[in-house]
Amino acid sequence: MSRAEELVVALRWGLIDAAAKRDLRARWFPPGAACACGVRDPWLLVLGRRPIRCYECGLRCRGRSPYEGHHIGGRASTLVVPVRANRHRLHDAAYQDVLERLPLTRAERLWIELQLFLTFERILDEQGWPR
Amino acid sequence: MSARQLPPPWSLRQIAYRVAPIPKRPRPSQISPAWSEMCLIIETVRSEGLAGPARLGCYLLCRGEEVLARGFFSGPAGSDTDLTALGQLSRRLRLEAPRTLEQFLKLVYRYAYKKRLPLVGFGLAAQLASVAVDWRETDATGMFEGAIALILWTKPPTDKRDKTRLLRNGRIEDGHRPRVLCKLLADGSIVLAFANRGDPDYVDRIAEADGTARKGQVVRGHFVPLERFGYGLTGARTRSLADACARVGIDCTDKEPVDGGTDLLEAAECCLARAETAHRLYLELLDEHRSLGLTLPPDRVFSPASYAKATCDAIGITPPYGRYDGEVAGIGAAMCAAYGGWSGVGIRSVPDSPPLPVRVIDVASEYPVCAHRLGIWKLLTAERLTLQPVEPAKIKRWISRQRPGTFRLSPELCVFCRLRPDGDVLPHRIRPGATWLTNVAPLWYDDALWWPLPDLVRSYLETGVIPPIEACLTLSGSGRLADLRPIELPGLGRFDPRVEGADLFLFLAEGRQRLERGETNLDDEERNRLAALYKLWDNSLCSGIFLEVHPHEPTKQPQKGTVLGPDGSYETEAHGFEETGRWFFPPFYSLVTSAGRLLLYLAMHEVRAAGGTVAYFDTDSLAILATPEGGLVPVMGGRLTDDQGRECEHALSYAAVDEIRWSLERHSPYRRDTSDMTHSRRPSAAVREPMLFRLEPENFAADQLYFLAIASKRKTPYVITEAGAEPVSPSEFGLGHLLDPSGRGDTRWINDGWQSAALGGPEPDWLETPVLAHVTLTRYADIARLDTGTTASPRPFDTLVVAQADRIYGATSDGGIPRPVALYRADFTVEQAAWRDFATGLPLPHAASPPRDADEPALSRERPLYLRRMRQLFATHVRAPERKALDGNGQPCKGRTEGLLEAAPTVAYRAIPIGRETNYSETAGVLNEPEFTSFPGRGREDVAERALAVLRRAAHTARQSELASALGLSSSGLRRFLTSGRARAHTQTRVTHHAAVLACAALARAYPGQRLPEDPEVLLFLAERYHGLFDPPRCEGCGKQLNGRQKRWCERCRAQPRRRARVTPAKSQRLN
Repeated sequence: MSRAEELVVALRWGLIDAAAKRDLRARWFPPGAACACGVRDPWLLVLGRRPIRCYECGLRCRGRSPYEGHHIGGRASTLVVPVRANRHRLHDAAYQDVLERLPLTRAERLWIELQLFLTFERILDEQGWPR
Repeated sequence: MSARQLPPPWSLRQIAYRVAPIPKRPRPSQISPAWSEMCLIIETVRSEGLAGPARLGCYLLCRGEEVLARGFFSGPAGSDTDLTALGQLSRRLRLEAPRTLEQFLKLVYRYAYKKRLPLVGFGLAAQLASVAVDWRETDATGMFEGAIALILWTKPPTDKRDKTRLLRNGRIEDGHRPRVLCKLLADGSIVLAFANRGDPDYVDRIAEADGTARKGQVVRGHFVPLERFGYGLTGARTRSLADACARVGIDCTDKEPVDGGTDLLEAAECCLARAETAHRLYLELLDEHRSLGLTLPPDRVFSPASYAKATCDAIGITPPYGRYDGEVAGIGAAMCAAYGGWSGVGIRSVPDSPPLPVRVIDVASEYPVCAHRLGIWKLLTAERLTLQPVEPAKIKRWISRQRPGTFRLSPELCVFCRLRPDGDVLPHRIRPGATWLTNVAPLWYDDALWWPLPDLVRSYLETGVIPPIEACLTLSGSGRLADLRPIELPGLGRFDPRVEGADLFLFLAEGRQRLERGETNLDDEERNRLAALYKLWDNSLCSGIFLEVHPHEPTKQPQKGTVLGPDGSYETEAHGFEETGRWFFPPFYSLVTSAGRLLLYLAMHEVRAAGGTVAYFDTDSLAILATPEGGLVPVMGGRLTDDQGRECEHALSYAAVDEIRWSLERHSPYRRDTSDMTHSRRPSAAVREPMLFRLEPENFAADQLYFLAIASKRKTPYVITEAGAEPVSPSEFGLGHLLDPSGRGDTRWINDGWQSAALGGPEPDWLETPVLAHVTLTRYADIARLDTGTTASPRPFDTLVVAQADRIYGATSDGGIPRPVALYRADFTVEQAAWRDFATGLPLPHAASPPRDADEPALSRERPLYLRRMRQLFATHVRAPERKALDGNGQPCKGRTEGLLEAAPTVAYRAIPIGRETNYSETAGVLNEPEFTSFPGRGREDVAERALAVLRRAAHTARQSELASALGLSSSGLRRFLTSGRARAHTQTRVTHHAAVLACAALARAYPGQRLPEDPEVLLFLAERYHGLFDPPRCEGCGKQLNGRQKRWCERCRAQPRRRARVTPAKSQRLN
């Protein structure tokens, strides 16, 4: 199998995995579960909390900042961008897991992730997620 | 029964009544998580077609209609060359690279266990078993007690200790992976789940729809066997994927599972096509499921009853036992009063009997109508339910006011009555053969049991005698559930339980009628499917779900436990107890079924009042002797004679039958215009037919329909054409489980068999083929018994071919009739199959046809396995006696009995408390007799009590030394026994037999020339009931009861010699 084929296969299974993970997370919450702020995305809801809260509201309740540092290119990367906590989780859910499965070099990953970060930020802006 | 007449031996029977497990307070309905959009579909090709390990398989990982990944895998029976060939095929078909079994199982673990995606397949248990390495009997309790645990994930052995744990593939089990539990439920459904795995992680402990990780939380997975899901939605059990697809209107051109011995590539392509069909079927079923708008997850659908329960949950109805605040003993009383449908033969025909012209009518939704009339819906939605005592005199007065012509089913019938039946016509269970049958006939029994009031009303209407009621409990409800919500049902519209007069039972019954009449916008296929579904749904909702009990796996040693009998709870010992379902509430079930029997009786009464005769009846249908113009019809034992001097019965005219149907319409709750359910019940000119008692479609197969009834459930309507008699939808009872001998793959052979055996039709060419059936191996004990330790041993869920040994020539050398089974292989032939006895697991000789002539020397030289042929089966089938009826001469019905029958009365000498019959419905009657568990009551059994009473009496009149010697006891031993009543088992047996001999002698003197039964227990019963043998001895002088060591005289008479002299010794009653 060539490297390109390998990448395609890994990407496909990565996407399947991410979809299954999201599916599972949705089933961990009762149907119609939502935070008081209106967030319904299962990725953003915190497990085992009553009442159900989103990640960002959870941080606020604990008196923490609603901003987190996002490492572009993996945890070892020094390229850190501050983003809202909920947006940070959405970034992770969208491509972090998938990228981790791919046989990429550090430079390749940094480049791809930067592109994905910028694209995804634009999508989130369009969807109205607060910055 | 006359005082000087003993009941005939055939009427002396043991009867049975149901006891209930102690009900648990039902848990509140759980919030179900949203159902996953993704699923993993698997399909395997087994090495032997329907048996053996998988050679290859195929998986589809899907999200909705989109297939995310698909590929092949090599099974346990596959080889490296198979994998190479599958690789080439995968490249050609642009699939994923084929996986080894280990890689495939990794995929299953990752997605079905860790990601908890639904695992879907047709025959899913068999598919998983075919990739299993080994299997064990699980030690789980609760729902999975006695289940088979499949071991799928293994690892190589690492140290010496592991060698003791080697599995069939030479590896050891991976303890960090779960086993798959498979259990066959009593209703024939298979339930699957993951067992716990070693060291479950945090994610595994998170409960769905809760989001909290809890210690002890187990991932059960979501298994969706498509045959089970399809049954829940269509009400039809299907044996093949094609059949299941046909039920929901999907084209399925795929072949049945091919065996791994054929061309690998052909098998692989077929496997892929089947997996894709399974995907389409799953989507279609899921679509139908979602259209019902219930929160029930598809993996919790076991039958249409699952939807019925989910509907109650959706409406906001809580389980009734949770709202019951009466005595728990009342539940035991209602359980004791639980009987099912009532069937029987009025005129029995044999193959040469003259044809019986009939009209067949049936009740449209009998149980829902009865439930509506009894006001069960109001009770089901009441805030509080209770069973309160009521004065028996009040009920007796109410019964005495009822008349058959004006009687109506009403909520006043919701009463349970305790009585000692004395010739009252009541339902009771008798066991003339292997199974318990419900008989409704005159019953005598000395102890009190419970019956629902509708049965007592029926007895009164038939006999004119008010039953001797001792106690009554009336079921009543108060208040109304607060959180009732409306629901939307596809094809029927909105049902709002908050509206005054709303009744879901009637809503579903009327809706079903509208669907059947085509008064909706749905297409025909959808209409028929919904009508069939709502029929099952409605029946479950008004009766079945309230008697749901789950029998535990039987244990070898009896266990102690508590059950609810007619007089309250008691401790008992049994081999298996039961557990109640969440909706368990027997008062509803008992009342609804009892009202159904009463409604059927009222219809039969109308027929008789009009001078007609009922030829056959079964729960909700009647075959009435009728011709277009009416007149006399020859019937053996008939009460009339025609001008040729033949015995006849009067056949009603069709018009008279219609008149009866119209007169019974007074029981109908149906609105005349059901097309608009919201309007009031105003009659509509559009409906010209009675809506409750309808003519069955068979009536229109020809100008005249005829009926041949042999026994309950063994009957066929037929028409006579120029070509001869042709059956119209004959009953499949006793035949439906057999393999089609004609090879056409449908049930037309049953028609042909009936036609040939009972109606003088042409002989089909398959009559000489052996009687075969397919059965799936679902119990660990059966698999272990048939395990030979070789690769040819059966695996869980393998298909067995079951044959029947010839009843005459098929006996083994020890005289037993074996139950031959063989593993179903691709190249299966009856002659070459390796037959084994299912009961013992021992090998049997090769199969052969029974000899035409009984050549005794030849039979003794060579003993092959003689199998029963279809000819013999049908010959026996059409001569089965109606075991609960008497012929015109008052003798029990036999195989050749013909003509009018009447219900056989029962004199019960014992009533035994039993649980649910048939623990293993799939093989009951095929491989094993239907099972039931008895729960003996408190104290000693009647027979021991009676034997002790006889001996105590004998000890007064006979010499104690003679009695002691007859019983093999010392004098002191006899004294101890007579005082304490306790004895060892073998002494007790001797005591019983000796007492029976004494009883027999006394009865023979008292009833000279009358036939006496042989059973010691029955003899003791007769001696007690008809001869007063157990009355305590009395003084010969003054008649006072004797006590202590007094033998003939009381203390006072003993002191008066002149008084004693007046009594001659000859007058004294002695046993010897």
